[in-house]
This record gives sequence, structure tokens and C-alpha cells, in this order.
Amino acid sequence: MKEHGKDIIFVLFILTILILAIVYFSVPERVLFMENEIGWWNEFLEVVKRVFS
Amino acid sequence: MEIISYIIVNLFLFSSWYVLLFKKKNCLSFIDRLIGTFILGLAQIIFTEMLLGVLFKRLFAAPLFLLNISISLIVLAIAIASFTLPPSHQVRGEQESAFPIKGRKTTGTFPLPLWERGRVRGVWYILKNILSEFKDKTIQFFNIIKRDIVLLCIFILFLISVCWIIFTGYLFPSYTWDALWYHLPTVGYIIQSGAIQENITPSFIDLFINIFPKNIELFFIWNTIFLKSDIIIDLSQLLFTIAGVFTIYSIAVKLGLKEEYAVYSSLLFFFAPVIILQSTTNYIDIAVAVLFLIAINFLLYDDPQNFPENIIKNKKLPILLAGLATGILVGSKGSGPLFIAVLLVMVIMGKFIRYINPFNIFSSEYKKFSVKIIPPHPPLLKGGRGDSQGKSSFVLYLIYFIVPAALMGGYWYIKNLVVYSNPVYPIEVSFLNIKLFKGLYGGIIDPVPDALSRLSLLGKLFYVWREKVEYYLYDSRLSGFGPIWFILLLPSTVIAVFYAIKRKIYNFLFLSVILIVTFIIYPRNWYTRYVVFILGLGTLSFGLTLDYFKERQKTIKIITLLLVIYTFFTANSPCIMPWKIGEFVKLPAKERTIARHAPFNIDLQARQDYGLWVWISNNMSKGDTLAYTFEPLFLRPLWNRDFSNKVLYIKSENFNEWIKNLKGNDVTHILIKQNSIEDKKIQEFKRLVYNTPSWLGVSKNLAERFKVVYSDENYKVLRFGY
Repeated sequence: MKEHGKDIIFVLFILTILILAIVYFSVPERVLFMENEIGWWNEFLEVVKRVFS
Repeated sequence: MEIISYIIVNLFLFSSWYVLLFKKKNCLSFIDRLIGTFILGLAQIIFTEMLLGVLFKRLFAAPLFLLNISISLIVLAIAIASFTLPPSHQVRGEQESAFPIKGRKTTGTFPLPLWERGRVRGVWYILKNILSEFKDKTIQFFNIIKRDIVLLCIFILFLISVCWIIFTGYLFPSYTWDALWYHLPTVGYIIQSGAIQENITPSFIDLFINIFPKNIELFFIWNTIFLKSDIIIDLSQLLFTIAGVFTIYSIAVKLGLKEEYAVYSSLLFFFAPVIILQSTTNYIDIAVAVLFLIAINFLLYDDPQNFPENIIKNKKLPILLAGLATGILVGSKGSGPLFIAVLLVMVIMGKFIRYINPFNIFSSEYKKFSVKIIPPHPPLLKGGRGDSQGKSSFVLYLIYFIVPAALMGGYWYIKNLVVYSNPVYPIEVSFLNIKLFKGLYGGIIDPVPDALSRLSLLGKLFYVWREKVEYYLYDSRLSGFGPIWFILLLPSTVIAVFYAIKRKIYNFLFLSVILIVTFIIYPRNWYTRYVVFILGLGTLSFGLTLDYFKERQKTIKIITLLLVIYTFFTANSPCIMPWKIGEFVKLPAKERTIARHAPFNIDLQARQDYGLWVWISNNMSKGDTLAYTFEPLFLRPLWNRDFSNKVLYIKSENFNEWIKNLKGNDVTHILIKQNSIEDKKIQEFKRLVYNTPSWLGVSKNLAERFKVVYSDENYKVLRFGY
């Protein structure tokens, strides 16, 4: 019974995490943020290639 | 030579305190001795710099080096002299390798001469034990992380991040707004004069250079003055970040968490973008937050329920370390008194609650959540041992907490009270509409961003924690905590509080109340860099959550790893772009200047100043004094990278008086704005000299008194000769 209660809390906890993840990643600015990050890493890889070539 | 002196002084400073604390290994855990060493070393740095800078006005590398080495040798001597060796039969087995004395058989139970027992054996015994403890703890740590693949991955990402921080911190000069504005000019003014004193303040921002508490700036000076370069000054906060990771681990262990969960908690503290990005800046927010957490960590020793008798008897030391950490904090930021007030209120309340013992909460049986670093102990009497001794407890806190805190942080407030008649000048202090201290303004002058201005407090927090931004920045205005806080740590906090109430983990509830209360009353708590300490609550809650869900924790760990990977890849800022890294790697150290960096955060406002900054960096050297006559955008670039030239503000409406002042201050260069009053007066003077008939005997060389050595659209630098 005690473990059953813990199971329910665990499911609620994971559900909360999922909902918060959706809320966090679905803000409109996230698209631009990700584009900037991808741009940063692409540039980083280019610099690494240039330095080691 | 500079690098060697820097390494020697730091080695002596920190090792001497560590050896002294090593004697207290039965009272302080290994990790707390490391944190304690950091705090004692930092306190010594601040104390010696203030002694030399305030009292003797001789804060230069040589006296600072000698003073610190002397203190460290004394500390080391006390540590070794006071070390009690175990009886010879207990160390007999170790003697062969540990005390190899020529011509003497070292095995057996015979006593060594007194001087050998007291010195040679003592030093070897301590050294051997210290090294073996480090070795054991390292092995123990790697045993913990290698059992858990997720933890191992997080640890590897942590190591890579720290290496990256060191690399970028080393490669780029300090480029952040407040650092260039007032944190680093404070360093420049103190290094050039060897004195901690008030400077002439031509502008409002310069006023902050005078009135801000400067404990962390003194640490910046420490990382510059011996090296005679600012090359690692921007890595100063990284030490606080690492101390923060250790502190969270230590608190987690005190809460009774398994070491594995404690390591999770501590590493997650690091993975907040505001912490990663600020670790390479000359800001002070991480330092303030970590000092607060360190103070709480040491105050947790004052708990009769969780610690055996030998700790209770020796609680003076942890309380002293908490007092020193609080004092350094108070002397680091104007909001420092708020932290000490909360800590004191919470300590008094904690004592009071323990005294009245509501619902008999402190008479519970043998607790599951007892500290694992210390041997278990029998349950204590109802009401808690020592709590009836309220008076002695008060004296203990007065001597070991309040006095060190006042000594380490009080100077700046007393100085402001004497000079400006207000300890927190320029902020006006009122109570019930009664003006206690006059100032220039009340509260924070920075306007609230438009996006937040119409939102409620909760709305502001929700907005900032969702991070509706296009990139991260070190000052984290509308972001900074990252997804781990919002997605993982917030719900973990709810679970942890529920779990702590259920399992009577009062220590956790106590520190939760401290952190939450401080968070609530902190002005502008939506500004993440001001409230970094709240991450401590979240990460500790996460450790408790793992403990609560035990068998089900696999899913949580996988989610954690995903979020850590996301943070690892996204916690970079447009201020340091990869192509700039590529460019700077190829440059000699001397040419890696702020003007060459042209960082995104200041570029728009500062680009017209780059030419001037490059000229200063290349041409101003030791012995040169640059006088400026207007309010520059930033003061820091008026010094070269070594802080070896002097910078002075000299202005006067009267030309002759101005010249007199320039001469009186041994000025070698003058920085003026094009077409400014000074520029016009100098040109007039030159015209006068050239137009004077030669038969009057006026040398044309007089015009060379103001030789233009640099000129652009906005500025002129003149070589001043007389």
C-alpha cells in the first residue's frame, strides 16, 4: 500500500517534469535560441577543423 | 619570477591552514576542511591586504608576499607543534618508510629523541597522513562515480566545462560591463596607490568605486599583484564555483544522503548557465551565494541531534568558519547585511524552537538521518543537550560568529558611515517614514525590464525561469538558471519538503526556511544572478528526491543527464564566439586585448574607444601617469593589462591651476576629448608660444610641453613635459 502511494507520487512527479519541459521548451524564443546555439557550434566545429588542418 | 612568487605564496597560504585544520579531522569532515582552508586563506588574504592598504598604505607585492609568508609559517609552526603524535607503538609499522633517519634503526618501540619526535616525525607523520587521506578520498570518490554511468557522464561533462572555463578565462581579458565599469578600476586604483582609500569621483559610477564593499575585489588584487598581469583575474570566481560544488556535497552528506546522491546534488549546482558563464567574469554574485551556502554548511554543525558529543564540544571551529564566511560575504556586497540578519534570526529561532521543543520533535529516537562522516551516537535527552545553556550559546555565537563577521565585513560600512554619514550610501535608509540615513536614492536605480514591469512577483519569476531569451549572458537578466532548475529542481523541492517533513529531516527544513526567506525578502529576486544561492535548495532537494524514489530513480537520472547535456551545449554566450577563439589562440598574450576582442555586450557603445584602448595598452608602461579630464565609458581600459601605469582624474576650470595639478601629480600623459575646454586651451597656449617674437626669449620648445602622441575623431593623448 505504501509502495503503491509512492508509485502514484512518482508518476505525478514524472508528469510534472514532462509538463514543465513542454512549458519550458515551447516558448517562442526557444526556436531562435536553438538556431543561435546551432550556429555557435557549427562555427566552433569550423574553427576546430581550421586549427587542426 | 612573478609566477613562482604567486605559486609559493598560495602554496604556503592554503597548505598551512589545511595542516592546521588537519588536526581537527575528528571534528570536521575532509570536504569541510577543504572548504575551511579556502575560507581561512581568503580571510588571511583580505586581512593582510586591508592591514597594508588601510593602515600602512603599502599594499604592494613585496610587503604582501612577506607578510603572508610570515603568517603562513607561524600557522604552520603552530599546526606542527600542536600536533599530538600517537604513541610510538601505534605508528611503529609506519616508521620504516615514514621516518628514514640515517644510521638509525627506525623499527621497534624505542623512543626517538624529543626533538626528532616533535619535529621530524611530526612533519613526516602529518605529511604522510595528509597525502594518504587525499589518496583515499580520491579513490573513494572514483569508486562512487564509476558505479553509476549517469553520474560518471555528468562528472565528465563537469570536468570538460571547468577546463573550458579555464581556457576561455585565460584566453580573453575581462570583458563584462560591471567589471570594466567599477570592479576592475577598484583593483587599478588600489594597486597604483598601494592604499585602500577614497578617490576623486567625477561621475556617479565612480562613486560606486568608493562606496562598494571590496572584499572580493581584494581577492581580484591577490590574483593580479604577484603576477603583475590581469591574465587570470577573470578566473577568480571559478574558485568560488568549485567551493560551491564542494559545499553542496558537504551539506548533502550532513543531511544524511548517500554519497552518490550528494555528488549528484553538488554537480547539478554547477550546471546552471549563470554559474558557468559568470565563472569567467569579474562579477561577485557566485562568490556571495557560495559564501552564504558555506556559512549555512558550517552552522549545520551546531545541531546536538545530529552530531556526537566531541563535535558539540568543538563546535567553536565550525561556528568560527561560518562567521568568517559571513563576514567576507558582508564585506563583498551592499546587500551583505541582509544575509547576516537572516542567518542570525534563523539561528536564534532554531535555538528557541529547540528550547521549547514543540511536539517533542527533538526527542525522536535514533535517527536514520544521522551524519555518516561522524560515528553514530546515542539519542540525546529531550530538549537537546546544551539548549538549556542559552547564555553560553549566546556568548559562543557572539565570540565566534558575530565578532569575526564584523571584523571581516564591518570596515566598509563603518568607513561609509564616517565619510558619508550613511553605512550603505548612496541608498537612503528609512524606517516607518523616518529617514535614518540620508542618501541619493532609495532602492535599486536600474529600471525593471519592460517585459516584467506589469507582472506580479510570481509572474516575474515564472517569466524569467522559463528563459524567454535568444541567448544566455553572464549577467542573466531574464534567464540564467537553465532548464534543470525549472524542469527538475522545482518539482524536486516539493517532493523533498514533503519527504523531510515525513522523515523529520529538520536540518533540511531549517536550511530550506533560511534559503526561502532570504529569497523572498531579497530585492529583485527574479534577477537570477542575485539569488544564485536558491539553486542550493533545488540541488539538495534533488538529492533527497533520489533518496525518496530509490528503486524508481533510473528514469529521473536519465532525464537529469539529458538536461545536463542540454545545458552543457547551450551555456555559451555570444560574447565569446568561436571565430574569436580561433583568432585569439594565434595571438601573443600581449595582443589579446579587450579592443581586439570587441565583445558583443559592449561593442556598440565602445567601438569608438577601441583605438584609444589599444594605444594605451601598447604605450603606457610602469612609471607613466595618465590624467583624464572627462567621464570615460569605462575606466578599466585606461590602465594597461599589467595595471602598471597610474590613472588620475585631474580637471580644473583654470588653465594654470590645471597645469600646476598635472605637475604636482607627476603626470606624463593627458587624455582629453577633441574640442574640449582643455583641448582649446592647449591649442591657444601653443599658438601663443609660436606667435611670441623670438627676441622675447621664449623657447619654442614650450609648445612641445603638450606633444600629441595619439589622436582620433574623439580623443587625444598628449605627452606632458615640464
